[in-house]
Amino acid sequence: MISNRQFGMYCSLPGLVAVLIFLFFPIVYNVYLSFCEVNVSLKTGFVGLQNYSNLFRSPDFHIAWQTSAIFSLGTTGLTLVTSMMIAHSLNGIKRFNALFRTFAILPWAAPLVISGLMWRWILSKDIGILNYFLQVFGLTSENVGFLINPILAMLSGIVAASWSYIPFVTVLLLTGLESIPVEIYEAGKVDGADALQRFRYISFPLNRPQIVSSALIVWMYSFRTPDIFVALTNGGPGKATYHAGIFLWDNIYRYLNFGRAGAISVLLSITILIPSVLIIYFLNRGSIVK
Amino acid sequence: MSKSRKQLFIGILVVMLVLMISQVVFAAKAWELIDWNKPVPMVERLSNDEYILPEGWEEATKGVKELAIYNSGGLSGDIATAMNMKIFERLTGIKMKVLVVPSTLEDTKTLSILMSKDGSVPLLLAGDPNIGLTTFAREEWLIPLDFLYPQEVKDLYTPALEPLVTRNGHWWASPVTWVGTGTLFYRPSWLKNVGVDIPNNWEDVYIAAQKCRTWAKETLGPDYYGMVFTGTGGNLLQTLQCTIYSQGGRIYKDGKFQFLSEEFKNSFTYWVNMVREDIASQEVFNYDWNDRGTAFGMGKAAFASCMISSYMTSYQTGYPEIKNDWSVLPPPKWDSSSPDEYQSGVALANSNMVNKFSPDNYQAAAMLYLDFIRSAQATRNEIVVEGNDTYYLGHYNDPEAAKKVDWELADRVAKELGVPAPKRIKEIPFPKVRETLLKYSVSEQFPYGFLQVLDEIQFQFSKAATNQVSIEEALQALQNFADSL
Repeated sequence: MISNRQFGMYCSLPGLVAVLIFLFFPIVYNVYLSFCEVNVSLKTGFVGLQNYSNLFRSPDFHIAWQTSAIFSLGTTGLTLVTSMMIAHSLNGIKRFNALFRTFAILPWAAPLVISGLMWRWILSKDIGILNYFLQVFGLTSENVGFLINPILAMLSGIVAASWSYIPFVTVLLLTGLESIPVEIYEAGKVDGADALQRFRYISFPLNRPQIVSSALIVWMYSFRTPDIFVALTNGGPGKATYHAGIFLWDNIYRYLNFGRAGAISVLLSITILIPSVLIIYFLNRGSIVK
Repeated sequence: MSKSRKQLFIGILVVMLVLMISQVVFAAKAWELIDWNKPVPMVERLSNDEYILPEGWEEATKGVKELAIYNSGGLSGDIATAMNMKIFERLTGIKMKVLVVPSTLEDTKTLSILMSKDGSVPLLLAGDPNIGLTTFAREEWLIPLDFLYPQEVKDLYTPALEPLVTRNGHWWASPVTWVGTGTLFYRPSWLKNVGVDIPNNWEDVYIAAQKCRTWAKETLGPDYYGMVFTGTGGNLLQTLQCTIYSQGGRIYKDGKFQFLSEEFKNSFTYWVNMVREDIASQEVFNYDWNDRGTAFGMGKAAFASCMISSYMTSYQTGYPEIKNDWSVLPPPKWDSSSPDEYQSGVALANSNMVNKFSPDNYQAAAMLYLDFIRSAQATRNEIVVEGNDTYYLGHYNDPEAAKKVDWELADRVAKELGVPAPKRIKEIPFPKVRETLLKYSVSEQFPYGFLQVLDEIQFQFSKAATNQVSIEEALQALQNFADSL
């Protein structure tokens, strides 16, 4: 006879082994590789911190991290603001609300690379549809180089990425809004609170866990995922949109510099993990949610 | 057991072991059973209107029912390849299993399968052997194919083939699709409007493009340019290569990058100035490989440079904006005094390699497929049906080439792939332009790690073209970067 506890442990073993093999081992191996020089035959040589020190001296590393920071913060901000507006609108719609919600979620179905390609065709200077309409409506006399001006290229990336993230964040926020009892809003109305005040003093604080979680998800995802820029600008013009994810991709798959790529992925993980862990810690302690 | 019986037993055991080991070590590989020069010499087998299988192939490929191959993209854009696979299947009974690889992952997929010593895909892909092959070309990964290319067979093909697919004195790959790169498309009506003759060298092209831009900007609008090219990645490299080779120069020579050479400097300056002087749009920094063709097809430019020759087919059927108002030139020379052999394009071909980790009967089948795919019959389908180029030079002087194609098969394959039936052409368009392109194309063997250099070329080019640095500073930075690797 085995005890319930033992039975539970035996049942968990396959899962534990799977986690060790498929999650723990790759992470440890990657950290090990980051201290090695690895050539294309996977022959390794230990080089200590050399990959890291080379990275910190590399201009590409600084460009990539700066690009990712601007892009992720911009995307998070635009996504949150727009999603909040849409979520509040959807929350207020009583007729055909299922239909509107289905329409709102549609862009989420498109993979980022595909939406990047779509936006590339929209924004192209010489053959893009947006410039065509801007000219037709007399809004510009010359085509605008959305993807060839460094600032506009970054903004275009932010808009394109936000377009993909907004539906998901909208659904998250909407779920939070729906869990707020209607009576609180009604009490606010009775006390003379206008729509903005109801948002500021009711919706925002009571929906804060969803807002923080959404912001964290979008920030983490956009800091590490370069799909939009891969399709939209491929890191250009020059290196104006050279995202950390492209930097990592280049070092693994194009330059075959596996040791350096290991170091980049370790740094990328640390960059994403530290703020995330801190935010989750404070969220759990309740210092964010009053 | 007595001592003598024991000794006898051990003796027999040793002999059996030796026999088994020698069987494994010294046994003929399956593909060695193929006699490539029978029933007729290899050249005849390949150049016959219908490919002739070599003797011994059935024995060599025994047990192979299906042959997996990496293909660049889906077959819906590769109707000739799909046709050739059908013919191969009909001839041998071996089914081709196509594994689609996106163009951005061609070398990555090949590298990952080789590093994991996986033999499940016998035919691997080198998307651009100029860049990727140096990494793969090693005996512990691939089977050398030297025996498929004796001198008389080499003579059937463009001279650019050998440097493209050989490394360390061995042949490692055989092309499937040759992408003729380096032709110059132009709009005859624009040249007429600005009163210039058709140029035949890069210096005259520049002047003509400049005049066309001035005229187009005033007449058609600010977004009509003199020249369109691609300012990114491998296509920027090809653009630079065309003008470097037109002067007889090379990018990589004697184990060193030649970024400070006169030829590279002239070429770099030429294209930087195209953007600086507004002859080409800054949008070139965002163009991928087919955007320049699309922009030209939409009537946006007087010239499109370093183009792939398949546009000779696609501009006949699509792009109404330029209908009956386009033509094409072979790669121009640098100036009027340059010799004819400097009309150089870039040798570019999706090529397949034989995986050393596959069972040897599959390797035999893979070699048989590569043998067929380079034949007159298979290469004819590429140029006539799909509009690609061919490294088999005989087609350019064969006025009957189009008639020899099995058009019913082409239609059937198109239907299966769900694509429009190919246009039944009567002759190869612009055969002389294509022949010149292939005859003088150049291939260079770039070293391992070249992609880092390529990215730096693009970076410095965009900085110079947008006046962030001078041309001299960009070239020096480029040379320093390459030397530091």
